[in-house]
Amino acid sequence: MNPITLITNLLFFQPLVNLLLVLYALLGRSFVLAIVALTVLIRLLLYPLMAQQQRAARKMQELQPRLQELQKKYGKDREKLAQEQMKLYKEAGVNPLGGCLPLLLQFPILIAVYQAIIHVLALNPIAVIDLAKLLYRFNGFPALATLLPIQSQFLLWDLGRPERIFIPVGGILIPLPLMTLLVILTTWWSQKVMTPPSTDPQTRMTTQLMNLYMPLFFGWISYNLAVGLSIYFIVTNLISVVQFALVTRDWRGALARRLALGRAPVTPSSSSSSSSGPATPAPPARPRRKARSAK
Amino acid sequence: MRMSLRNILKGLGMLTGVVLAACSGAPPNWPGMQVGDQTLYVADLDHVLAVDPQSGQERWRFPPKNGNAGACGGVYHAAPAVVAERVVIAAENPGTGESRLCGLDRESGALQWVYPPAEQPPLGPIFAGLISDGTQVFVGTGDGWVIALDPETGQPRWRTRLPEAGRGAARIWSTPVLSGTLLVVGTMDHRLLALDRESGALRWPAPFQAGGAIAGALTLDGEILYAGAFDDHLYAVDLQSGQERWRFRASHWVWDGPAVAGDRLIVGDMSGKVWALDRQGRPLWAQPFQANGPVRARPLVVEDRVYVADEAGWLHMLNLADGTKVKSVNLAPGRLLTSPVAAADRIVVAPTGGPFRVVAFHPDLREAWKLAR
Repeated sequence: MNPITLITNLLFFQPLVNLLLVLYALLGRSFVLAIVALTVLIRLLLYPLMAQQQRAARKMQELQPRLQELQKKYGKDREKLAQEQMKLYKEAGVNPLGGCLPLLLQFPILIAVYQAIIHVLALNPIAVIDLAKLLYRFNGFPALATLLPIQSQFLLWDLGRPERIFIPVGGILIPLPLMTLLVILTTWWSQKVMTPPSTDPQTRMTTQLMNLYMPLFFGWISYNLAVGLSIYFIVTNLISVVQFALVTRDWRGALARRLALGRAPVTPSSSSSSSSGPATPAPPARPRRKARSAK
Repeated sequence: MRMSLRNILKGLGMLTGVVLAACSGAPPNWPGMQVGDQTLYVADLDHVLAVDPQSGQERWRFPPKNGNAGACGGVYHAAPAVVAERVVIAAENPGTGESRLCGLDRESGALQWVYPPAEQPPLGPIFAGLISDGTQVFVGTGDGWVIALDPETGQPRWRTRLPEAGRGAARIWSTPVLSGTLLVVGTMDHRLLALDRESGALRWPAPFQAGGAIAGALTLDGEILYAGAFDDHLYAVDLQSGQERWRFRASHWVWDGPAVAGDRLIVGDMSGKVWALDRQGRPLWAQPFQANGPVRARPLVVEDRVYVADEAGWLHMLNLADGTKVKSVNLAPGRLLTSPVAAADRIVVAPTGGPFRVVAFHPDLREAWKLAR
């Protein structure tokens, strides 16, 4: 085993696998609850990082009117526009790429969680051979190993296998990927809620592309990999939305308005100057505490 | 700071590739080997090979080169059963883990039958080796079924679903054993069950309950059955009653049952230790032999030598009398998870991974031949 794999296993993957098994034992041998609890714990650990990113997203939202002004002013001189935008970001203390880190961090975690689920479920002999090396022993006794095999069934699904539920329609079996659809829906919703709006056409196009691609991407992964991973995605998406609402104090926006209207929020000033905003009058952003207390 | 659409798409494509590569599955199992009538049969993922153990010459392979496996396509890893004119193999659909049994002509490797046929639902995953009593083939599946088949036609003689099977319970990974009228299977949910070999009916009053999963091949020695378990124990169980005779505490999980050699049992564990025990489970060597990696596979005893395969890719030759090492050879990056077999004065191993499917040695561990993947 190469040293990087060894260190990653020792510091990250091995604790994750053991934690998942301990949670399984503590939560009445319910693997779905263990995955939910593990997801919540991971999100709690990542909270400072995520909160920072979400605050940055909020700041980016607030900068939109000024960015739009710059766009109007220097639209034809892209170099100057880029310089001014950078200046503005610097003044506001915003790193425009700051949002990428949590996104990038999600992937190694996703892979580790997937591997942990698959290993703990011990679905085939090779996975169990690897699991044997990962489980902690307590006072020389293999306490966690005696939990094997894990009860992997949850309602209609085997958490260790891709979902393959079919319903007969007129003699033909039609796939009914319920978990996949839930992943797509919650990913789309969390993307919609958390992506700052943009007045720049190219950025807007990129955002639209991501808002389409990411739900489909995660949906595709969910359909092809173990259902346990879908549980992780769904819980992660729901927690992300709640966390975003907590950080930005925009509960109504996060949980109701954006879902109901399917629109990105627009700050009052940006809506007044927006040339590409929604046709209906944009609702004002959730007032801050000061405004609320003024009421 | 502006990213072009092309760069974004490139990035997303790479991301997809990385996630898929990281989440794609490794092979599910190690190769299975069986020796029958001076021929070695190896189920090694993409093919089943029939090989002359003396020379390493390939006699046939299934599916044949440029041939179509039909309903028997997939991956092959369960040890085949050889009976009369047939070699019976298990073919697994790598996407779903579901399996079918296939009867091949022993001389040519031509496909003779498939069970269940293509129009019927397949069986669960099959990791356990297939065994035969000369008239029937027996198989245990990963979803708790035990099936007896007619090897000539592939027609089932009986099918029994173990008690509590389904919803992840009663998975059978362990190669069963036959004794008299009994067929004994071990399950991942810690049990040993005895079935009637003619009817499939349960025979013991209650299953034997171990403290951990029973995943490896069982060993039969007269009226005693030996089973390794993931609670670090080797269990000795009375074959007729299903009651425990004794248990031996190893240093880690015990996967396969022991090799029986005269008055002693040779067993390895996942910490890499190998013990010689007497028939009461008492260690005989002054100290256990320590291999270079976990010992999953049952050791092989030939005359006064013990051959131990470890996961780090080492094949060790030990003295049966005292467990001292005589010689070791390394086949890394291949992992030795399949039990070595003896055939035609050769010691044969089938590595998992690495450049070679099969490597054969003379009894003194000089290399005799090897088959590349």
